[in-house]
Amino acid sequence: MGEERTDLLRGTLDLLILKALALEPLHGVGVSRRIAQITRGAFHVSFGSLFPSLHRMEQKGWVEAEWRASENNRRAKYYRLTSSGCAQLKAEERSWSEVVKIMTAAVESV
Amino acid sequence: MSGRIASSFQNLLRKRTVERALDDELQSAVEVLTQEKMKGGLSRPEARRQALIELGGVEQVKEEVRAVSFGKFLETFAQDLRYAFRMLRKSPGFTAVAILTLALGIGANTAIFSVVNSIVLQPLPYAHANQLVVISEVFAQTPAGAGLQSSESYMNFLDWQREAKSFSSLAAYQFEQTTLTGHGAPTIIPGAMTSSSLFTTLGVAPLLGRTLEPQDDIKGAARVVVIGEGLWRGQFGADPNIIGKSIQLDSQALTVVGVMPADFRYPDQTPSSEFWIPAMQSASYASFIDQRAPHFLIMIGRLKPGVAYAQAESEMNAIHKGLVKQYNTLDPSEVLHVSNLKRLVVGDTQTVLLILLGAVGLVVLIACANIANLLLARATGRSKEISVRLALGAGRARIFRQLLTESVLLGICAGIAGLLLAYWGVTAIKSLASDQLPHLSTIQVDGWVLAFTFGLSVFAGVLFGLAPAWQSSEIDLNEVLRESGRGSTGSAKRRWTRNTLVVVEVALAVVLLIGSGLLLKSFYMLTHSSPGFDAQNLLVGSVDLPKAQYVKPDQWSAFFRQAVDRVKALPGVQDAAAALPTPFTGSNLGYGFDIAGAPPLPPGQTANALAHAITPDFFQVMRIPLLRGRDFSEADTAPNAPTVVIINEELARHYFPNSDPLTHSLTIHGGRPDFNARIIGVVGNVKDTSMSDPPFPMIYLPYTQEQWWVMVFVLRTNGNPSSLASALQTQIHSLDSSLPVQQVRPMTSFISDSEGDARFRSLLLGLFGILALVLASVGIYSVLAYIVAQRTHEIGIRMALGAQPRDVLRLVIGQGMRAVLIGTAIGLAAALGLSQLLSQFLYGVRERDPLTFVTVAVLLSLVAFAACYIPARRAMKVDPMVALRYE
Repeated sequence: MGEERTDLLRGTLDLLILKALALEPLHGVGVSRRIAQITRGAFHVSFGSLFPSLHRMEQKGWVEAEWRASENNRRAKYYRLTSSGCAQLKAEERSWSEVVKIMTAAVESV
Repeated sequence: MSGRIASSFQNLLRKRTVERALDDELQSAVEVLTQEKMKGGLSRPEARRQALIELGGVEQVKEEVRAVSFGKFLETFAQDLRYAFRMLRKSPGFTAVAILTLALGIGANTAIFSVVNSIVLQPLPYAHANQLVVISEVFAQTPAGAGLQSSESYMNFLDWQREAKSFSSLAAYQFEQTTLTGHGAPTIIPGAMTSSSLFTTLGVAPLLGRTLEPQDDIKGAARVVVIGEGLWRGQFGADPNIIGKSIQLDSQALTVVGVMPADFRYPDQTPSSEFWIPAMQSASYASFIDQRAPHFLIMIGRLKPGVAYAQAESEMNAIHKGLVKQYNTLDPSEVLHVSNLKRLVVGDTQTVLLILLGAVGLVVLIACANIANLLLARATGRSKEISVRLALGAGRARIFRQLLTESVLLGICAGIAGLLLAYWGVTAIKSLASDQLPHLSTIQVDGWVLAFTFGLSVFAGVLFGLAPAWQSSEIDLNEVLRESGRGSTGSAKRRWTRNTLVVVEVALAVVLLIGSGLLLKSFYMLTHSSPGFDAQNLLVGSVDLPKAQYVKPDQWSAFFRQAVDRVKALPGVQDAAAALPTPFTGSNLGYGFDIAGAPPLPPGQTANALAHAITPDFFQVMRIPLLRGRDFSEADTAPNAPTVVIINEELARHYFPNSDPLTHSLTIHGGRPDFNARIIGVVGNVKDTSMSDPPFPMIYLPYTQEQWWVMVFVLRTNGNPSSLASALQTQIHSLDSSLPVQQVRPMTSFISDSEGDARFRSLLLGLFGILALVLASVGIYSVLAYIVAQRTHEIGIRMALGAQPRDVLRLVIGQGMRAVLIGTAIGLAAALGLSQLLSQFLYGVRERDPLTFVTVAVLLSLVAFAACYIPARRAMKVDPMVALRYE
């Protein structure tokens, strides 16, 4: 996981977090693990970017947080997608597909 | 409910709670990671270490998150601010009234605070001012803090200066005036006779040349003077070569060695000090400066770093004990006090200013209650807008915060307007109190004042915005949106809040009005009590003979005898006399005395009286009644006449309760060797320095037996006394053309000056009282007017059902007056406790004066009744048909 990779990620981090939370509420570490899982270990999000993003999303109302017991019975802050978060996820997925389509076409045209 | 409020506060004052939540979150992340790694087989410490590495530093992550929160905060704030501006612009009437009301309060506060700031809060304008102290010598039983400006002999001062180790420097000085001649008309200049150490003690440097130095304190040294920048620029045209030049002060040639910058004006006086002459060189002090008994200098000092007041005080007293043993002319019952120099300079103005600041604080509270009421009324009007926003998903905390932003913005706008008012206010206070406040010229609107005003504006905004914002954010959505809130006129809770605000307003206004009522009554008593003589048509003016020319005391008496005769002959003058001192002209002489033949008083107790040297017609001119015995005659002023004294009623009452004073003699300890004088008469009491003086024992001596080089002329005139001022001057000039007559003014103007403090405080507090009354009545009116408007429908039903207009009137007035009466009762109770603060400023009126309390209660109730009556009449005229059809 080189530095250059993280740069690439910045624009897509929100999408990945929303996607990670789409299935079930997770705490911060859980979000990180889920992203690693769904990207098959390709992306490892640093906590220095993850937590600010989660807080920003919370303020925008895309996710809400709740304290509850974690898998090994510790208190942890769980994030859950709200309805506006779901809508945002759909929108970002759509625009991401657009970008992929356009970029693929552009790269293969040579 | 309380949870919601808590979360609103969390939003506002979020920092602490948010920080803790963030901390918890990250700690739990560390724990989750650690557990994960322990499952991988690592020991706990190692797992934790790796967890922290993976997290990338808890503090760094926190910092990133904080940046997000702050950005969001600013964004919301800007949004709220824009919205708030739009709302205020939309209702210009409300905005103008609110801003004006609050601006009055904030302006008054800022003006008083700028005075308090520069006089009470700021240190004196000298380096390490907290080391500067005044050393006062008082009788052991004198309460601490009294008699700060007591005096000391030069010889004692020299001993202390030599022996005391607590001080890095000690200085002694006295206020003096000299006459500058040789530069146009003779001019009176205020200044000081001082030890050279004054400048090193205060730590000040000259503008030109040098300050006084120890060699100037030596008897017989060259005669030198340091002058002020004002004198240098005014009289000497800022002559760059002034150093080394000779000037004429009191007909003596003195060499100018230095010029002090204009901001150095110690000792503070009006007009400001412009010369400093070594006390040792002073011609006026020459006859007694080398004696121990005459106390005439004020002593100040600079403590060495780290020396406590008590430590310095005990050292000074130890040295004093030694001096008392050595010199029998010193009084063993006296002790020395060391107190902060600031208390000498500021004096008791501090208490007055703090009381005034408290009073304007109450005015602001009343203004806040008014605006809170206006906002509550408006909030009801806006309930629909707010419900819609709530329905669309806005959080209640969010609404609360936005409404609060609006009121804080209102507060800040009022603060800006208030600053303008304060600027005028400060100018007004300066001109009103030119003689009452120390170092007045330093009073200004500075950074501290701006910070105070800003803080006050925000505080006021939060204060009056809190209740309305709270109530608005807990609106019941369904009720408002269904539009059925008509009959209920807001919740009972809301009405309760409004009534509480009226109660608070009325209570505060009562407290202020009673305070100002007490001071105004004292002021009335002061100005309408008799000084003991007839002050009308009395002209006063003093002449100070230069001792270089008038060397012998008999020359002084001869001059004044001649001068009084000439002045008597002036057309328009009924009669004239001379005396030293005269009442209200600002000086007095305290002499000790014993009753000849009576057993001596126990040690530590002395009989004291204020002494006056007078020419024979003094009592007639002043119209002071002669109660017993006879006045002085020409025979008493003949050379070698037997020494005689006239006493006042108070002395007779206190010391001769059971015997005839005319059969006794007094042994008088004055400025010359003790002497016996036979009592020949008793005159009425007169006030001496202030109309509020209690009667004090006084003795009067013939001017030929008690001789002075200064005397004050008093002229009983036929018409306006001021018109004779130049004639008096001309008569004196005909005797000696180099003599100016000082302080030529009608006696009434001296008396009026002496009441300046009382006028200043009663005027300001009176003003605040009126402001409070007006604000409170506007508040009562607006609440009732609003309630009546809300209940029009209900009143219509009542009238349709047969209620008489009179019943409606009683209903509305009853509701308003209940709050007013509760407020009045609370205010009266509070005033009973608080009026003690004013006791030291009261004269001729008790602090719980029933008349003032009753008058204020009645006055406020009447005004409040009027404020209730107008909306009640409107309610009475409700047409049932119109009211019922209304919606």
